Amino acid sequence: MPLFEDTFTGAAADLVGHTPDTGTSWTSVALTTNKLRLDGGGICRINSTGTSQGQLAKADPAPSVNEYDVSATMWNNATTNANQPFRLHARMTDASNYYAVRRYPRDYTVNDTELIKKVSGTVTVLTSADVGSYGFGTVLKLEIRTAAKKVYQSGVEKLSSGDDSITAIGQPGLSIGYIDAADAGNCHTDWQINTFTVDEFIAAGQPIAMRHVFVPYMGTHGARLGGR
Amino acid sequence: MAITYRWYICPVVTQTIPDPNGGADLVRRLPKVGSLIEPGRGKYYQFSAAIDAPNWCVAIVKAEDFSALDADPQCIDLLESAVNADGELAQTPRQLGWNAAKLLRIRNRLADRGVDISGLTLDSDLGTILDRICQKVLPRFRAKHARL
Repeated sequence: MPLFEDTFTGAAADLVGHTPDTGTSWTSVALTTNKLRLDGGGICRINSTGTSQGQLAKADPAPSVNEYDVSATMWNNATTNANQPFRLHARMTDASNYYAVRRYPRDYTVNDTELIKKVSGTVTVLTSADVGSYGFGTVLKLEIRTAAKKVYQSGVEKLSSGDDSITAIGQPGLSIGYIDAADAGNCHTDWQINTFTVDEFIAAGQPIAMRHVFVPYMGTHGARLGGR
Repeated sequence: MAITYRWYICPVVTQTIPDPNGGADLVRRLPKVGSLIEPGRGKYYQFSAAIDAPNWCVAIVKAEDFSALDADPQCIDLLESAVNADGELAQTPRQLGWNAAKLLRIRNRLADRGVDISGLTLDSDLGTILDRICQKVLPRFRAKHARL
């Protein structure tokens, strides 16, 4: 069962204030005029196209470990040469510190997919490539592990970086358009998100349930295994 | 031409790209190799980099045409050879037929950037050689995790 899942079902409403299927809530981290909003038909998108506008929201609760996956089923058929980003965030402590996969309309002059880190407000591009395919049902996943940060598209690894300069658990999030001057852009209603999911990664041999539930009832050998 | 991969040492630059429709500029801090246009494809070179606070970085670049990088003296082809994305990292210079003079040039590029080159020989695998310089930028970085 995921830590957080939202299929954006329900009446048309702002994303912040909407209750996800699993998890507790969405919280706004940065907002400039235009908002992320449910359209009432199972889609989340920005409420209106705009220049230097947009919203970044985080998914609550925070994960308990700093290795987790952030996924979204999304699409965008726009052939626009414009800076109109969509992002999935991880290890985000605030609007100035996070990892993110950043996607652009397919005809933008920049490669369509970037893995970035933002540290104390400075954005650095770790990897940049043309991944392609924005069709309906495209699943974009940002996998955060200590050893590597990877981007998958519909199950296929596309980008990878060995960077680990942000180690905080932080929180996962979602954004379209402008966050601040360092991670700027314009928002567009072409970006549509059907699902958003967060899964914690538990390393082999360290099942959380084992630590919390079974250890008191196990013998010495089992307790040692379960406690590590 | 086929798509191949090369490892580069280059400066870190800040690039500002105006929005064609009058919207917000895109400001990116990235390896210089990623700020240059690949001929033919017409977009910026695709890369994955070990990049952090230093004003230089290490990047693997995926391209068919490297001529724009070859023309820039600040973009240094670290290994002087195309490599597979990850398959060759376990191979050694000796297995790849490189000579001592080429290894010496590579060692000098590392030493010029303060990298410990002790023990690097024709029998050191490429992953070890690349990790030495990547970890000068980010101590926990491993070359095998930089892929695209």
